[in-house]
Amino acid sequence: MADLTLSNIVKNYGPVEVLKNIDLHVPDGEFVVFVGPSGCGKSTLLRAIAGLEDLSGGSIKIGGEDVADRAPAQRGIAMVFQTYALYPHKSVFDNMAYGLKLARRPRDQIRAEVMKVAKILELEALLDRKPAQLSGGQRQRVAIGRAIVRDPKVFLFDEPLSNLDAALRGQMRIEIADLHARLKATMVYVTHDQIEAMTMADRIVVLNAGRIEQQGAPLELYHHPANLFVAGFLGAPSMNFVPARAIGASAAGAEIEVEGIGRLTVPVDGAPAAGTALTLGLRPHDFSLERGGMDCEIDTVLVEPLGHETIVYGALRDGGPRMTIALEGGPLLRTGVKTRFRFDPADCHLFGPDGIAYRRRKQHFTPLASGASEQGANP
Amino acid sequence: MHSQARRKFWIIASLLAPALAIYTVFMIYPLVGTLQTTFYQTDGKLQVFAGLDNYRKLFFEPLFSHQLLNALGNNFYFFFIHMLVQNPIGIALAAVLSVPTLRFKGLFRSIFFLPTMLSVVVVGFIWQLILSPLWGVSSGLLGALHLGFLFKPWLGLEGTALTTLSLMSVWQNIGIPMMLIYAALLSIPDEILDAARIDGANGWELFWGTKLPLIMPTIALTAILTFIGNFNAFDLVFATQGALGLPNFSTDILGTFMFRTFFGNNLQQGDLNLGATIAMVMFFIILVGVSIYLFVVQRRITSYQL
Amino acid sequence: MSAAKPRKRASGWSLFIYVALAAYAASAIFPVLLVVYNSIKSKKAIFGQPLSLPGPGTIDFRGYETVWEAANFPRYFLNSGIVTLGSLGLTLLFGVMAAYALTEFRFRMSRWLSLYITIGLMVPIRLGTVAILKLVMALGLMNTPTALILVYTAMNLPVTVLILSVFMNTVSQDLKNAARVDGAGEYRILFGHVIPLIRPAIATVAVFTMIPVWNDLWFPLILANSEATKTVILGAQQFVGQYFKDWNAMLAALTLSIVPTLILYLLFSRQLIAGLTRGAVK
Repeated sequence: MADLTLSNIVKNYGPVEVLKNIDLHVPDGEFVVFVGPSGCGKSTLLRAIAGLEDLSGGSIKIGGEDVADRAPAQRGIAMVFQTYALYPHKSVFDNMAYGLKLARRPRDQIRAEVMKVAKILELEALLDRKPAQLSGGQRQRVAIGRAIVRDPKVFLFDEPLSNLDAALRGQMRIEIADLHARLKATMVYVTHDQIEAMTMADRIVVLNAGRIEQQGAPLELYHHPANLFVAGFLGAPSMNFVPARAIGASAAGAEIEVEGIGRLTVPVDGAPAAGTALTLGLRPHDFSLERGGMDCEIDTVLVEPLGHETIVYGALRDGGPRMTIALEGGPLLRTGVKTRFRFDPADCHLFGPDGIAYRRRKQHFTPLASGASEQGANP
Repeated sequence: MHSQARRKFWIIASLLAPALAIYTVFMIYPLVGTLQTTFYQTDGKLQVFAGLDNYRKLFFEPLFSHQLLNALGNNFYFFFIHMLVQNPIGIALAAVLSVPTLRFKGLFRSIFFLPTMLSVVVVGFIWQLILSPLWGVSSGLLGALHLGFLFKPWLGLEGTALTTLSLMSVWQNIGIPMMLIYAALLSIPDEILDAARIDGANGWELFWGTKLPLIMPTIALTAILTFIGNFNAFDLVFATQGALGLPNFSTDILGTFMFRTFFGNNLQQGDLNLGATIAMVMFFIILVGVSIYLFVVQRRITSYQL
Repeated sequence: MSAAKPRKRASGWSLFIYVALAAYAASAIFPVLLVVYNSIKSKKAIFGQPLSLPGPGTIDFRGYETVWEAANFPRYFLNSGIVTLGSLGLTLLFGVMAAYALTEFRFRMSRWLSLYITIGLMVPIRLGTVAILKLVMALGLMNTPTALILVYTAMNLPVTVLILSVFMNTVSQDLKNAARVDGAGEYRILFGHVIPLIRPAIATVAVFTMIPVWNDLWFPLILANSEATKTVILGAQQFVGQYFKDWNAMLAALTLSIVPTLILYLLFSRQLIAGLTRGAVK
């Protein structure tokens, strides 16, 4: 077990900068998730840590040792791939044993290690099978088993669940989280699925266009996104953005005017100067029909009753910004009708002209002392 | 980082080195060397620089220019017969084979492709024997169809020898366009064909209106492959008609002309440099054909992403 | 009634199709079979009833006896085998390595090298014969199988590299990376993981490079014309040229040179055609 330090990582494909000066420290035992849109560089960064991608600059330290010049197998990492990448011509046992065989470990030791891991993952009955004879979930367990057998300092996961169906994905998510709890290993996990990120991570690193946009505990990022990108990326349905204008500041926060809503005071620190063009952010789940000090009228275009909640799509005023609203339960709403929704200004997010968020005053959660945040909150 | 990069360099170099070495020494260097040879003439045991004199000889001395023109004309005729017969039949066979409901598909496919697997020399001999008036197989078969009067010793007559040879070559090589076009037809997604059927296309319209435009690039490819193959041909003529392209040079093509000039025969002495010059003329012709294909045909023909 | 009509027309059409296909199939295979089965008939039967199959009264192996006495066909077979397998081995080994280098690694020269190798696809190697002959003489390799092996390897490398590159690109990148993480070197990844996965493609390329080598007349004629190094095709060509009056012997010699190709084709035709149509054949 070891920590992982990335400093000043740069990667170019010809003139294209894929990774731009990435600095990141992952303490021992932490579960870090890289998220971002496709092409943001998250997989490239993971492969660079594995040594599968040559760097254009920067250093990678695992457990304090600089590994940038080492072959993948010498870095003390193990990797689980999106397509499982099991060797189709080898049995499950041989797939798991391959790394140790190449490292010329004694036979009985290999056998013992593989059996131990097979037991943890309940793969004992499958050891003689070929990958083609396994189900998707079993293959992914073998791929994870192959990683564990290597007893790595750092586990790397490259979108390991994206080839599984929804039900299996939920189950494997729990298994991996459970595995992390038991092994207490350092894990780096790449995904584009924010539910995986929110539920599994100790810390989320949001990447965009080769840069780290923000990193922090999942709920910290959810409730205090640092900028428009992170605010829009995390949370489903994603945050509504409405143009606004600053008109003044008070002890209560920033006073702003929003066309179609009116004037309101958003409790944030560092109020902007009057006249500044701002963006107001409103999460769909922060609306309701009864509660809240402000209201706005939405032209509903589509109502999706999902049972436990109802999603409403519409526009703020005629031709105004599109809005998505999520209401608890199944209130009776009709399409094509103007409806008033209420919200609390304390729930609002406010972003400056550069897209940077003003720090919200509302505390939405209490971080635990250990650094591991409260889990299971599905936004 | 440096030792990683260096290791990678040596791995790449060691992977490439053997292939590149053999390819360069036995393919590229001989082509360059042959080109160089064309600028020299043999004087006793010495090679003397002669500039373009070999080309002048080949193009302007009647002894050679007549043979060159004759061989060139025969070669084009050979090629046109292939384009006229081989490729349309190949396309038709492929179209029929690609019909999903056709039975014995695998058997037909294998049989049609079988002649392509045989040696050109053997094919030449087989047909020579079958067409021989001595054996009487073809005259007998024609007689059975009451067409006996049509029979002639086609390979022995000046007027028919080249056509007969071309058709023998077509018989052998038809498998190549057939297979390439067959593969192209199979790679057309079923959805497109279903959509055309729903739009009301019948089998005939489906082929001309939908399939053919989509396989045009493959047809162009078979044309250029035929061109390269035809202008490089030698074995068939040499085996059945000899290096002189009998009867009376009527089947002489560039390949036999080059061989004869290079090694000599009872009419003339072997001339290494002139042989190389003919090879370079062939090279030039193939180059022009390939360039037309690459820069004109391939750009005009639309390739569709399937 | 109205539904049955087009169906009837369709079945008439398909009958025509089957007849046409069968006729073409007969024309493709009959000439070959004719030579093969006439080779074991007596001279009288060959000319008397050329179309009928050999029967108890007409079977005669005299042609093969003449071939056995007059020419060293076992030797020719051995030579063809050495040359074919030798060049096949080198082509596959070096072709696989080069294709892996060109598909797996991005480096500055890789595009140029691919282009350089493509030249060989477009230019027939025969055009370099004059210089090849000089080179082979200078190396002292005249009348050796080595010369033929090297020339055929050079001839087949471009198409081999091209086809194998296409197939290597289909091998999962994750799989190769998994092997790298497990500590396998590039050669081990190539020979232990990539090659087993593209075995069908390699088999196709193998048959494709073998056939033209086995069938070639040009280079044996020019580079290895001696009795000791003659290949089957060259041997048959010269034998037929010499014994053009002895039909038994001629047919026997031709059959001898057809049969190995025929057997090979029957064994591999399915795989070969599947490879040719890039696996599109189900």
